[in-house]
Amino acid sequence: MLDVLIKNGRIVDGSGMPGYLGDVAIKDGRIVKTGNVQEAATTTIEAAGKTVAPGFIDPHTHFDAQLLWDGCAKPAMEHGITTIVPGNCSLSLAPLKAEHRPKLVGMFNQIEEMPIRAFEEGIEWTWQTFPEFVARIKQGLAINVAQLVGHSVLRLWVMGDAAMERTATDQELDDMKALLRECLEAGAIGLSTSFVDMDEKLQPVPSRYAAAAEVDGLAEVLGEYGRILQIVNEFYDVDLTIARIDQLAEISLRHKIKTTFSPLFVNNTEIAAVEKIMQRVDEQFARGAQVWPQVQTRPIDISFSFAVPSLLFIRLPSWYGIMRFGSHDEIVAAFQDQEKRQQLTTAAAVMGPLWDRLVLRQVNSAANQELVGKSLAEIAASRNCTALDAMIDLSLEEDLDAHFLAGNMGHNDDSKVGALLGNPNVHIGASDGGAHILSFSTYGDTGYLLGHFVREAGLMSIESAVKKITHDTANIWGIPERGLLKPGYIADVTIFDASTIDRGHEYYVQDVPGEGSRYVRDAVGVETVLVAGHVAYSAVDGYSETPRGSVLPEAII
Amino acid sequence: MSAKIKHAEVTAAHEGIAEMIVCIEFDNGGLTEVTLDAMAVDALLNSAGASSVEELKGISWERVRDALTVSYNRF
Repeated sequence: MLDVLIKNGRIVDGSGMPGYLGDVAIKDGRIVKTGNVQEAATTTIEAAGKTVAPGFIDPHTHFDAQLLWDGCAKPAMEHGITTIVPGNCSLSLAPLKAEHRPKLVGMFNQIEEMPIRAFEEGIEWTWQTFPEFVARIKQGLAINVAQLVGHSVLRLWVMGDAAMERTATDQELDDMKALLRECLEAGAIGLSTSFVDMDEKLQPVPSRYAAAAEVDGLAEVLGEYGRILQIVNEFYDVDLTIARIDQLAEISLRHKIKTTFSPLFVNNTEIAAVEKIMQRVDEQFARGAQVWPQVQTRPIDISFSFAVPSLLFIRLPSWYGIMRFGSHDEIVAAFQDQEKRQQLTTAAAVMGPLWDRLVLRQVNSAANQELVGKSLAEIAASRNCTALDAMIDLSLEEDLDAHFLAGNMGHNDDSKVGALLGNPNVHIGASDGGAHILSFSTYGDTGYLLGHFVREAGLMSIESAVKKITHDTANIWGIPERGLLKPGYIADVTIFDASTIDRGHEYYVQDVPGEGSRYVRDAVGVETVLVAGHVAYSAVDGYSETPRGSVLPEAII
Repeated sequence: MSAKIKHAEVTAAHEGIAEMIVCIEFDNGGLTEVTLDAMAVDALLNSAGASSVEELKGISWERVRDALTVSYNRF
């Protein structure tokens, strides 16, 4: 008797091979057969008309804190994600001495825009070492976690405050290497570092004080365990990024490890940048190095309010001048003055249809809550005014704390982004899931890939897209026995409707500890998600009450 | 060297904020692109006496360098 039988689905198994109609049989948490299965099962899932794929893997997240109050990493699993990689960008919650907790919380707040109150009210700090942390997150874990160790926290543990002042001594490097070994043996998937980020005091994070020899020394330890190195590169500078690619390539070749850098995106005003970077990536792959650029699927949106100057208005000197030099009261006065307001709206005509498509993202007043999520064109129609007037009026009504969204302002050229996503030397990732929660939603990138780039734009086959976010990701990250629908593999499975899968609309919800809020997107078209052979989420019944997630890879015993 | 700003454009940064990219043209026709954050743009506009992004065209690369220094040094 099988435990679960998924019947009559279109099986896209993660290998990249053409999909086919068939069944998937599961027993004891593993796939035991695919194809035509006649055996009976305790649970049968009818999947006619649906696509059956391996569970998606999100390799770039910051769910570290959220996992401590939400073992499902909502809403990631609703989007078909069964494995997440937290601990990116040099930041992880372990190993961490008690005296360094405020420092780490400050860095998470500054870099990943995680509210400090969420840490204060959502976390009971019961660990210091990495093994203790793994034991803690295993409690109630519904999604699989492949946890990175942050270079910045390794430095803090070994060097204390000196981690933010200088390079490491030979002894300190040896101590960091020993600490990294302890983490890897407890189940860490690799090491993350950053060459970019600033801490809460706008000083470089500890990892940025490391000499090249320190990064190389830690990579040597990764080589002992066959684990990956993730970095944040200087993504704003082509030449520095290429230099980092070369550095990663040497590390990859010397220590026989995989490396990945993020983010890489198509900048609409610096088109040649991606071509130059990919040329160097291709050259290094040809040498045998593994330097995987991570590319996000979603376009980049710009958010702004009139409380903070935004360069979005740089082409409107009269507007930018007020935003740049005016105090809060002066901006309000300018908007209230009919003559000045007329001058501003006349000048803004040069930006054309931008104003109509701006979306109201966030307001404080109860009266305007119902307008959140609507375009200014919609709001203007209901108020019988222009979109510009609606923007100004809403800003006044909210004492300038009305937030607007200019969508699709970057990384939105379908042909270029689609070609990049399909490049065999590109790794799909960089979602930042769980971070930047007050600025934009970091959920639904896989739905956007399968809905937009596969179904709507036709720029990738569904088989190729699924392979990219399952088998390829598992291979790059060294996650064993996952990422394929293949007998013997662990049964992480996502069942979705290929004709509807998408990311839902972005909205603001208060569900963060400390009465915090965040932007999220619901999934569209994801029907059932299985983790280790058990239904973990279904669109009909919601989340399972029995968590089945694991920390991957398992600790070395 | 008398490299000058050829043009400047607003762009969407990774973090969801607006930044500006200036394209600098060298004497030999070579081009390079530099990303400026809001503070660097303020400094550049001030030093160039420009009130709009269009007026940055033809401004010396040294003003871009100095504007970046202003931005960097705030840390």
